[in-house]
Amino acid sequence: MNTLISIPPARTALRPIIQFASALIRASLNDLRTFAITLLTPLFMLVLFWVVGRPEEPGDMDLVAFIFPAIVGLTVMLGGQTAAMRIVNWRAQGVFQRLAVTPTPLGHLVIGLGLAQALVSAAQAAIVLLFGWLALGIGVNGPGAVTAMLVLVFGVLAFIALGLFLACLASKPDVASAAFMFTLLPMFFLGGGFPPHILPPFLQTISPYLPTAMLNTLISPLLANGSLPAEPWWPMLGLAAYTVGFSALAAWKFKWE
Amino acid sequence: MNASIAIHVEHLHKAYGDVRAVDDLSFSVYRGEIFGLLGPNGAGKTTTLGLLQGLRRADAGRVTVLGQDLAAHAQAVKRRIGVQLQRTSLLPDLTALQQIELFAHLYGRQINRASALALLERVSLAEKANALPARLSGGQQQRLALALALVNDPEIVFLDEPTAGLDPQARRNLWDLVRGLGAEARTVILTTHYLEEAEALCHRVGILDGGRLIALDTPAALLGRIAAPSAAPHGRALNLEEVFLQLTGRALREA
Repeated sequence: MNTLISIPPARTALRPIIQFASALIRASLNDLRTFAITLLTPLFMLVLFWVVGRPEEPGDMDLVAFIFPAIVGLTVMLGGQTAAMRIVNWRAQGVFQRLAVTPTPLGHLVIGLGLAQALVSAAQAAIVLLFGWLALGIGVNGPGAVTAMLVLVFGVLAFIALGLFLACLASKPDVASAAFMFTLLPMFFLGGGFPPHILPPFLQTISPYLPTAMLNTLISPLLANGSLPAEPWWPMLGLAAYTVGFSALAAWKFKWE
Repeated sequence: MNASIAIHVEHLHKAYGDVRAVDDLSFSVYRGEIFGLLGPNGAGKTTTLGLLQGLRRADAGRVTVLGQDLAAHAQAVKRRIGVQLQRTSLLPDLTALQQIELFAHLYGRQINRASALALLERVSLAEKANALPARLSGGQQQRLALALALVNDPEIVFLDEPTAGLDPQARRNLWDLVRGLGAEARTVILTTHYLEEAEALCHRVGILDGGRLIALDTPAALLGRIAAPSAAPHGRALNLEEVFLQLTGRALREA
């Protein structure tokens, strides 16, 4: 059944959204193994680049410092994948049907799910950031890192919205996972994983419009020297536009069974 | 409408493509009644329940639940009914107690820990309050799903094949719970494959076939229509298939 998610009136909607988000955060705490496993990919990549990418001589590119913001961004991207997988699994397991028998509209619950995942993703990004900073000694500006955590919210929401949209297109969990990986890896490498100057010209033209590049544009200077880029509003607006666009598409295509 | 009627269904239709899942269904369920919907796989039982619960939209027809038109007041009706689905469909990472608390909130109810534990105690799961669904047996999961269906103190409880896949002991345990609901004057609508179960629990049963209601009566009256020797060979309990075949028969199908 196709169900258009209605936009809830703010006052009546807020309570079940927060209660549902709280329950899902408790669920994440009940399942810390999944929380930790989700962190393995960014932490492994960070360690890998730290091992192989440190400059050997003065003047060499500090690869790990370059890619560190992109890996923090990757962490929040993986949060979008988790949200997508959860939706597809719930659909397959009948959990959405179980929720749909209650008087709380499913739209409220999907927003609650997104909110819970946003908080979990932010916590995971903070862990990756602290690990790189404190354990690996990657140079990070302290106040800038705090601001970066706030700015990361734009990216968290955009990638969760992307996850919700992909979950609406995918019929099975393995399809959702493959679809998200298909978007994740190119966006990671084109949006901050590779130095832009090594990309072919047409990819250099495209890459600034990717959400990963927008997030990287915001947090790279914050982590390096504590300052926002010269025109921070454009990437912020871009990420907000991705959030709204993907959310609207997800609401349009959402299926609970 | 008669105040003693909990659910009134008029000329209900629902099709999926060319398949008529529910075809001109009309019946009433009375308040305090335990009503069984029987039929083989694909008879339209679950679709009918979905239509009565406001989960699916009918192509045509009208459903009135507790005096309210379901199409116009689905959310209000959902506050007054409890639903146990065919699949238990529990949230995988929440404990039994957390599921009770969450679903109470989703019904707009505040529930304290003692009340949540009391509900788990009612379905004999108090000692499993902190267990995740994966740690529960099939019967325990069904009982937890029943507890979730009762979390809003519903006037009508829908049970979709609540004993499917359970061992005899777990099945009898669930029967006791259903009888308890009836004793509280709640209206219960359940679907089942087993006439034995319907006979033990239901005041009346409706038999569905191809989305149509082909019989509606008390279990005793339905069994009375069947020639006993052929219906219960070797002394074993009747099953739906035997009763169903005799009740429907070719003459009726061809009519």
